[in-house]
Amino acid sequence: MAVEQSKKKGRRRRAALPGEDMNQSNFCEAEPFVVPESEAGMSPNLQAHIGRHLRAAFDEVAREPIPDRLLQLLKDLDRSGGK
Amino acid sequence: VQGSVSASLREALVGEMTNLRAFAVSLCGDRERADDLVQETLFKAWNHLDSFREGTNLKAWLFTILRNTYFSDRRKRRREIEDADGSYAANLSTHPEQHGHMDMQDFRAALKRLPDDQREALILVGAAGFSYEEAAEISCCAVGTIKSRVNRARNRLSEMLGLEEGRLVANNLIKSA
Repeated sequence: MAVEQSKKKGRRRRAALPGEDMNQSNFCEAEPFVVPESEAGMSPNLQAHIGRHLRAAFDEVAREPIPDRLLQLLKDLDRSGGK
Repeated sequence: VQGSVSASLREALVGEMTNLRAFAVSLCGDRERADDLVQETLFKAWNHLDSFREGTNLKAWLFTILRNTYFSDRRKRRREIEDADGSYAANLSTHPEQHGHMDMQDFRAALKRLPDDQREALILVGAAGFSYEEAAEISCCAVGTIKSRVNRARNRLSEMLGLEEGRLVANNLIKSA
Protein backbone atom coordinates (compact mmCIF):
# COMPACT_ATOMS: atom_id res chain seq x y z
CA MET A 1 0.00 0.00 0.00
CA ALA A 2 1.53 3.23 -1.05
CA VAL A 3 0.99 5.68 1.72
CA GLU A 4 0.40 8.64 -0.45
CA GLN A 5 0.90 11.83 1.36
CA SER A 6 -1.15 13.77 -0.93
CA LYS A 7 -0.74 16.12 -3.71
CA LYS A 8 -3.28 18.75 -2.86
CA LYS A 9 -5.98 19.07 -5.36
CA GLY A 10 -9.39 20.56 -5.18
CA ARG A 11 -12.43 18.36 -5.38
CA ARG A 12 -13.44 18.03 -8.94
CA ARG A 13 -16.98 17.57 -10.01
CA ARG A 14 -17.08 14.23 -11.68
CA ALA A 15 -19.34 13.00 -14.42
CA ALA A 16 -22.68 11.52 -13.49
CA LEU A 17 -22.64 7.78 -13.14
CA PRO A 18 -25.16 5.30 -14.43
CA GLY A 19 -28.32 5.42 -12.38
CA GLU A 20 -27.14 8.41 -10.45
CA ASP A 21 -28.88 11.69 -10.31
CA MET A 22 -26.25 14.27 -9.58
CA ASN A 23 -28.81 16.57 -8.02
CA GLN A 24 -29.61 13.98 -5.46
CA SER A 25 -26.71 13.68 -3.14
CA ASN A 26 -27.61 10.13 -2.26
CA PHE A 27 -24.10 8.83 -2.17
CA CYS A 28 -22.38 11.95 -1.07
CA GLU A 29 -21.94 13.41 2.30
CA ALA A 30 -21.07 16.65 3.90
CA GLU A 31 -17.49 17.72 4.26
CA PRO A 32 -15.13 18.30 5.89
CA PHE A 33 -13.97 16.21 8.70
CA VAL A 34 -11.28 16.57 11.32
CA VAL A 35 -9.68 13.36 12.48
CA PRO A 36 -9.93 13.14 16.27
CA GLU A 37 -6.90 12.02 18.22
CA SER A 38 -8.65 8.80 19.19
CA GLU A 39 -8.72 7.81 15.55
CA ALA A 40 -5.09 8.47 14.96
CA GLY A 41 -3.11 5.79 13.21
CA MET A 42 -1.87 2.71 15.00
CA SER A 43 1.64 1.38 15.07
CA PRO A 44 3.22 0.68 11.67
CA ASN A 45 3.67 -2.92 12.74
CA LEU A 46 -0.01 -3.53 13.35
CA GLN A 47 -0.94 -1.58 10.25
CA ALA A 48 1.31 -3.75 8.13
CA HIS A 49 -0.09 -6.88 9.72
CA ILE A 50 -3.65 -5.88 8.90
CA GLY A 51 -2.59 -4.73 5.45
CA ARG A 52 -1.08 -8.12 4.63
CA HIS A 53 -4.26 -9.95 5.55
CA LEU A 54 -6.39 -7.46 3.70
CA ARG A 55 -4.38 -7.86 0.51
CA ALA A 56 -4.25 -11.62 0.89
CA ALA A 57 -8.04 -11.77 1.10
CA PHE A 58 -8.40 -9.47 -1.90
CA ASP A 59 -5.74 -11.16 -4.02
CA GLU A 60 -7.11 -14.60 -3.38
CA VAL A 61 -10.30 -13.63 -5.17
CA ALA A 62 -8.53 -11.54 -7.79
CA ARG A 63 -6.49 -14.58 -8.82
CA GLU A 64 -9.55 -16.71 -9.47
CA PRO A 65 -10.63 -17.16 -13.06
CA ILE A 66 -13.59 -15.05 -14.14
CA PRO A 67 -16.78 -17.10 -13.65
CA ASP A 68 -18.45 -18.38 -16.80
CA ARG A 69 -21.63 -16.45 -16.27
CA LEU A 70 -19.72 -13.16 -16.33
CA LEU A 71 -17.78 -14.16 -19.44
CA GLN A 72 -21.08 -15.13 -21.03
CA LEU A 73 -22.55 -11.75 -20.13
CA LEU A 74 -19.64 -10.02 -21.81
CA LYS A 75 -20.22 -12.05 -24.95
CA ASP A 76 -23.92 -11.26 -24.90
CA LEU A 77 -23.29 -7.57 -24.37
CA ASP A 78 -20.80 -7.60 -27.18
CA ARG A 79 -23.29 -9.16 -29.52
CA SER A 80 -26.28 -7.04 -28.61
CA GLY A 81 -24.51 -3.82 -27.72
CA GLY A 82 -26.26 -3.96 -24.36
CA LYS A 83 -29.69 -2.52 -23.58
CA VAL B 1 -25.19 3.00 -29.80
CA GLN B 2 -24.77 -0.47 -31.18
CA GLY B 3 -21.40 -2.02 -31.68
CA SER B 4 -19.51 1.15 -30.91
CA VAL B 5 -17.43 -0.17 -28.05
CA SER B 6 -13.84 0.08 -29.07
CA ALA B 7 -11.79 -3.09 -28.90
CA SER B 8 -9.25 -1.49 -26.59
CA LEU B 9 -11.91 -0.32 -24.16
CA ARG B 10 -13.54 -3.72 -24.17
CA GLU B 11 -10.20 -5.31 -23.47
CA ALA B 12 -9.53 -2.89 -20.62
CA LEU B 13 -12.91 -3.67 -19.18
CA VAL B 14 -12.24 -7.40 -19.19
CA GLY B 15 -8.86 -6.65 -17.67
CA GLU B 16 -10.51 -5.01 -14.67
CA MET B 17 -12.93 -7.84 -14.07
CA THR B 18 -10.78 -9.79 -11.63
CA ASN B 19 -10.12 -6.72 -9.49
CA LEU B 20 -13.74 -5.73 -9.64
CA ARG B 21 -14.76 -9.18 -8.41
CA ALA B 22 -12.23 -9.06 -5.60
CA PHE B 23 -13.61 -5.69 -4.56
CA ALA B 24 -17.17 -6.98 -4.66
CA VAL B 25 -16.36 -10.05 -2.57
CA SER B 26 -14.41 -8.01 -0.03
CA LEU B 27 -17.22 -5.49 0.16
CA CYS B 28 -20.17 -7.82 0.59
CA GLY B 29 -18.45 -10.96 1.85
CA ASP B 30 -20.51 -13.24 -0.32
CA ARG B 31 -19.35 -14.65 -3.64
CA GLU B 32 -22.76 -15.26 -5.11
CA ARG B 33 -23.92 -11.74 -4.36
CA ALA B 34 -20.58 -10.35 -5.43
CA ASP B 35 -20.97 -11.87 -8.88
CA ASP B 36 -24.47 -10.40 -9.11
CA LEU B 37 -22.94 -7.03 -8.29
CA VAL B 38 -20.22 -7.42 -10.91
CA GLN B 39 -22.80 -8.49 -13.44
CA GLU B 40 -24.96 -5.47 -12.75
CA THR B 41 -21.91 -3.20 -12.82
CA LEU B 42 -20.79 -4.57 -16.17
CA PHE B 43 -24.24 -4.12 -17.58
CA LYS B 44 -24.49 -0.52 -16.40
CA ALA B 45 -20.97 0.28 -17.51
CA TRP B 46 -21.54 -1.20 -20.94
CA ASN B 47 -24.70 0.80 -21.45
CA HIS B 48 -23.04 4.00 -20.33
CA LEU B 49 -19.69 3.66 -21.98
CA ASP B 50 -20.46 6.82 -23.91
CA SER B 51 -20.30 8.75 -20.63
CA PHE B 52 -16.86 7.34 -19.91
CA ARG B 53 -13.98 9.31 -21.30
CA GLU B 54 -11.25 7.06 -22.63
CA GLY B 55 -7.93 7.81 -21.08
CA THR B 56 -9.41 8.52 -17.65
CA ASN B 57 -9.43 6.06 -14.79
CA LEU B 58 -11.53 3.11 -15.93
CA LYS B 59 -10.85 1.14 -12.78
CA ALA B 60 -12.08 3.96 -10.53
CA TRP B 61 -15.13 4.44 -12.74
CA LEU B 62 -16.07 0.75 -12.51
CA PHE B 63 -15.44 0.62 -8.77
CA THR B 64 -17.69 3.65 -8.31
CA ILE B 65 -20.52 2.04 -10.24
CA LEU B 66 -20.13 -1.13 -8.23
CA ARG B 67 -20.12 0.51 -4.82
CA ASN B 68 -23.06 2.75 -5.71
CA THR B 69 -24.96 -0.34 -6.81
CA TYR B 70 -24.01 -2.10 -3.61
CA PHE B 71 -25.03 0.73 -1.31
CA SER B 72 -28.34 1.49 -2.98
CA ASP B 73 -29.13 -2.21 -3.05
CA ARG B 74 -28.13 -2.54 0.57
CA ARG B 75 -30.43 0.25 1.62
CA LYS B 76 -33.32 -1.52 -0.05
CA ARG B 77 -32.54 -4.81 1.62
CA ARG B 78 -31.25 -3.53 4.92
CA ARG B 79 -33.38 -5.61 7.24
CA GLU B 80 -32.74 -8.85 5.42
CA ILE B 81 -29.00 -8.24 5.26
CA GLU B 82 -28.68 -7.32 8.91
CA ASP B 83 -30.20 -10.65 9.84
CA ALA B 84 -27.69 -12.41 7.63
CA ASP B 85 -24.84 -10.45 9.17
CA GLY B 86 -25.99 -11.38 12.63
CA SER B 87 -25.80 -15.07 11.91
CA TYR B 88 -22.49 -14.69 10.13
CA ALA B 89 -20.98 -12.77 13.03
CA ALA B 90 -22.11 -15.54 15.35
CA ASN B 91 -19.88 -17.84 13.31
CA LEU B 92 -16.78 -16.03 14.40
CA SER B 93 -15.62 -19.32 15.73
CA THR B 94 -12.32 -18.97 17.47
CA HIS B 95 -11.06 -16.36 19.84
CA PRO B 96 -7.94 -15.21 18.10
CA GLU B 97 -6.77 -13.34 21.19
CA GLN B 98 -6.14 -16.71 22.81
CA HIS B 99 -3.79 -17.74 20.05
CA GLY B 100 -1.99 -14.51 19.42
CA HIS B 101 -2.55 -14.80 15.70
CA MET B 102 -5.42 -14.62 13.34
CA ASP B 103 -6.22 -16.78 10.42
CA MET B 104 -7.88 -15.64 7.25
CA GLN B 105 -11.29 -16.91 8.27
CA ASP B 106 -11.31 -14.79 11.40
CA PHE B 107 -10.00 -11.87 9.44
CA ARG B 108 -12.77 -12.13 6.84
CA ALA B 109 -15.41 -12.44 9.53
CA ALA B 110 -14.06 -9.37 11.31
CA LEU B 111 -13.89 -7.45 8.04
CA LYS B 112 -17.50 -8.25 7.41
CA ARG B 113 -18.49 -6.90 10.81
CA LEU B 114 -17.00 -3.49 10.12
CA PRO B 115 -19.44 -0.71 9.28
CA ASP B 116 -19.91 -0.56 5.52
CA ASP B 117 -18.24 2.79 5.02
CA GLN B 118 -15.17 1.78 7.01
CA ARG B 119 -14.81 -1.54 5.22
CA GLU B 120 -15.12 0.17 1.87
CA ALA B 121 -12.47 2.77 2.67
CA LEU B 122 -10.07 0.17 4.03
CA ILE B 123 -10.40 -2.07 0.97
CA LEU B 124 -10.04 0.76 -1.52
CA VAL B 125 -6.89 2.12 0.09
CA GLY B 126 -5.44 -0.99 1.66
CA ALA B 127 -6.06 -3.63 -0.99
CA ALA B 128 -7.31 -2.21 -4.26
CA GLY B 129 -4.40 0.18 -4.61
CA PHE B 130 -6.21 3.51 -4.72
CA SER B 131 -4.79 6.68 -3.21
CA TYR B 132 -6.76 8.44 -0.49
CA GLU B 133 -7.78 11.02 -3.08
CA GLU B 134 -9.07 8.41 -5.51
CA ALA B 135 -10.90 6.60 -2.73
CA ALA B 136 -12.54 9.87 -1.71
CA GLU B 137 -13.63 10.41 -5.30
CA ILE B 138 -15.06 6.90 -5.53
CA SER B 139 -16.90 7.14 -2.21
CA CYS B 140 -17.95 10.70 -2.89
CA CYS B 141 -16.66 12.13 0.36
CA ALA B 142 -13.78 14.24 1.63
CA VAL B 143 -10.22 12.92 1.75
CA GLY B 144 -10.20 13.49 5.50
CA THR B 145 -13.29 11.33 5.84
CA ILE B 146 -11.56 8.47 4.02
CA LYS B 147 -8.50 8.77 6.23
CA SER B 148 -10.64 8.76 9.31
CA ARG B 149 -12.62 5.74 8.13
CA VAL B 150 -9.44 3.82 7.35
CA ASN B 151 -8.04 4.56 10.79
CA ARG B 152 -11.24 3.60 12.54
CA ALA B 153 -11.44 0.42 10.47
CA ARG B 154 -7.91 -0.60 11.43
CA ASN B 155 -8.49 0.12 15.09
CA ARG B 156 -11.77 -1.72 15.08
CA LEU B 157 -10.24 -4.74 13.33
CA SER B 158 -7.36 -4.96 15.74
CA GLU B 159 -9.84 -4.76 18.60
CA MET B 160 -12.02 -7.51 17.19
CA LEU B 161 -9.05 -9.71 16.46
CA GLY B 162 -7.36 -9.04 19.74
CA LEU B 163 -4.22 -7.72 18.14
CA GLU B 164 -1.69 -6.07 20.34
CA GLU B 165 1.65 -4.71 19.46
CA GLY B 166 3.61 -6.69 22.07
CA ARG B 167 1.99 -9.98 21.24
CA LEU B 168 2.43 -9.42 17.53
CA VAL B 169 6.14 -8.80 17.93
CA ALA B 170 6.52 -11.84 20.19
CA ASN B 171 4.62 -13.95 17.70
CA ASN B 172 6.74 -12.80 14.79
CA LEU B 173 9.86 -13.57 16.76
CA ILE B 174 8.64 -17.09 17.46
CA LYS B 175 7.81 -17.59 13.81
CA SER B 176 11.15 -16.33 12.61
CA ALA B 177 13.10 -18.25 15.24
